[in-house]
Amino acid sequence: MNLMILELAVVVLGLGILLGDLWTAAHQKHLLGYAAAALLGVILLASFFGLEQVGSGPAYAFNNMLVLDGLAVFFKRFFLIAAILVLLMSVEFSNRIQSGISEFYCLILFALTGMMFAASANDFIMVFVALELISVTFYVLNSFQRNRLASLEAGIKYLILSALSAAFLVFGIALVFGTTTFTNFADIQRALVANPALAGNGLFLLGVLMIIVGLGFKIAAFPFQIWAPDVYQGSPTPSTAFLAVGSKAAGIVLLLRVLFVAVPAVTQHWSKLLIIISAITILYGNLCAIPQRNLKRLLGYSSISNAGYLLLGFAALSQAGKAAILYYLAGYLFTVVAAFTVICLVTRDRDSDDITVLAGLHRRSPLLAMALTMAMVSLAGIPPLAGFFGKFLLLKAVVEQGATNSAYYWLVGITVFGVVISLYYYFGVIRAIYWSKDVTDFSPITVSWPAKLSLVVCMAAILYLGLLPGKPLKLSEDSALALTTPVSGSKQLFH
Amino acid sequence: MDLAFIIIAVLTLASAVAAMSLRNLVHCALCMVMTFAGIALTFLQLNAEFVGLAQLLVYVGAVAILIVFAILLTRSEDAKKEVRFVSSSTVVGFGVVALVAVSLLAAIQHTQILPPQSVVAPHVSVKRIGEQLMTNYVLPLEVIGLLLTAAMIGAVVIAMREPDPADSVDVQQRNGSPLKLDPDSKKTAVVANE
Repeated sequence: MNLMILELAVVVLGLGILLGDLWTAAHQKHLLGYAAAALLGVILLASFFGLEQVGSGPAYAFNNMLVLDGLAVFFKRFFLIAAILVLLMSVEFSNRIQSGISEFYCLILFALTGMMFAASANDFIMVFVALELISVTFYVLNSFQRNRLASLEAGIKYLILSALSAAFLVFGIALVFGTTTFTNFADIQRALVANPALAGNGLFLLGVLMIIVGLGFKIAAFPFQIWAPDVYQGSPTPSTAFLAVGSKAAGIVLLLRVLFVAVPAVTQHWSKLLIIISAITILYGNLCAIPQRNLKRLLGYSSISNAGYLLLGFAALSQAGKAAILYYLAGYLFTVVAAFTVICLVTRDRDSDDITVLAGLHRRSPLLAMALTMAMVSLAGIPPLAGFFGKFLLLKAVVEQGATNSAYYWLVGITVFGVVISLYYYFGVIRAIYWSKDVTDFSPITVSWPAKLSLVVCMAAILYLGLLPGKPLKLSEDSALALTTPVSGSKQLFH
Repeated sequence: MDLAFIIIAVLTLASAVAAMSLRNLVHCALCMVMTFAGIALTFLQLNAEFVGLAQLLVYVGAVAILIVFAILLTRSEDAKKEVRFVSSSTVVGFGVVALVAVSLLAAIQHTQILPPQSVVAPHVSVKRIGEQLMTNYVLPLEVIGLLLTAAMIGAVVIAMREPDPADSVDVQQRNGSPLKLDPDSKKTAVVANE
């Protein structure tokens, strides 16, 4: 029971927000977001005291469906931090949502629950159920601004494509189950060890491939990235941020577990596939981002290229690669949330997300200008910020593998090329802030203190992860250890 | 292959084709109900009682009614009349079907399916499924409960009427409580209705 205490707390909080809505006056409803964020903060703190027993090794529950190891704890905290920052952003956004703001908060919490279950999933049934919980809440979160056609369009597009990817995922799971008679990751791994011929079984491989398709959709990797720009552009900004950070990270943690815990024997033969997907995703995301003038659409393409960078760590197939993925994700969380918070605040009084709204931002609000500049510089991968060190670690992991296969050097070359392209469009944003010629609006932007706090936290984290990488790197290496130990003797805690 | 299967299969496929090609949306819906029923019968024939009955209850019972209601409520008679039977999308569609079929067949042919672990296929009854759901699979079941809650909240949020002033006048009129409206506000109400 101890293993899912965090998820239970989040669900109870979500239902509490729904109930609290009944006793709150209409003009105060948006303040529930602060309450939710504060209580999530309490849950996050509690996770540092309640889960210490985990250090002794992974714990399993519910017939091994749920696992609590270093990786699960890392991602649970990651999702909690993301949800807190997104809730603070939603409060700033509340004036643009005509009704049902408490339901908006509640759905964010439910999506968070799904992500936290995904972090712990150790069984394909759990994977499917957790992913569906995330998808269904995002259908609603994306189409929440019903008076805006773009938002509805984003919701419908996400609904249809997500349903399609879920069909692939289920089909894949069925094929894997049909060939191995297991859905549990540890059981499938054992079956692969006991019967090596299984790794050459076409039906089994087709199943694994279809599962990768389903998860690839979630992280927006090529060729399952088509939805990302449209959905990112149309959705309400907090939904977009949560989609970019939470949903992507949930896909990453599941991909890590599937590839390295469930089917490690298959993954070793598929390094070429991962290299190709990674390279094309990086090129596609960066090249398509160049002509974009809409900020959210630009970040949509940037999120595709970031999925490509994250896949570098998968392609490396090494422990260093896995640790680098976790490190890069941590930096990505704060960078992207900072960028979307600024966009949310700047576009508060306007209906456009065009890049021109940034003109003269450094005179209207130096804090916002600084935060967005730091986010862009970090995304571009310039030292000494988080994005640089994350990319450095990923590339280092890939280069280390270069001796085994020269394709890895090509991958490094393509990545560096992609990073150079990305400098152009990220600096386009910075140029729009500081060097726009036709600035008409000099009215200062007021920023509430919770939003200021969240921006300051993001900037501090970006600097910390870039300048003092020692401790967080150790943490991500320790968390990635969960992906090496062969899962044999399992400790049953709860039936 | 026994006769019953052939009849059911032909009926299912024919009604599926009809559901896609008929002009009248209500006819399409009814044909789809028949397809659902045919699939349920196939399941029952394979001794998969639970799946068959679930298919019957959920799809034939609930989903079909939902679709018919949706069609009646949205009243979209003015659907596009001109539908060419052979268009580029038809060709692409058949191409995709052929591709998927060929790859699936190739995959299936080149596969030795592992012998099932237990030699005697266990008899799966509704009771066993219920027991499994409440013991080994209780956590996914609970998460699905949460999922349905989220979906319901979402449906309410998306279907909720926007609270704006023109609506409230509208509601008062419909409730039959003729408030003494002054001429000006009546005019705005009429404008809003138009």
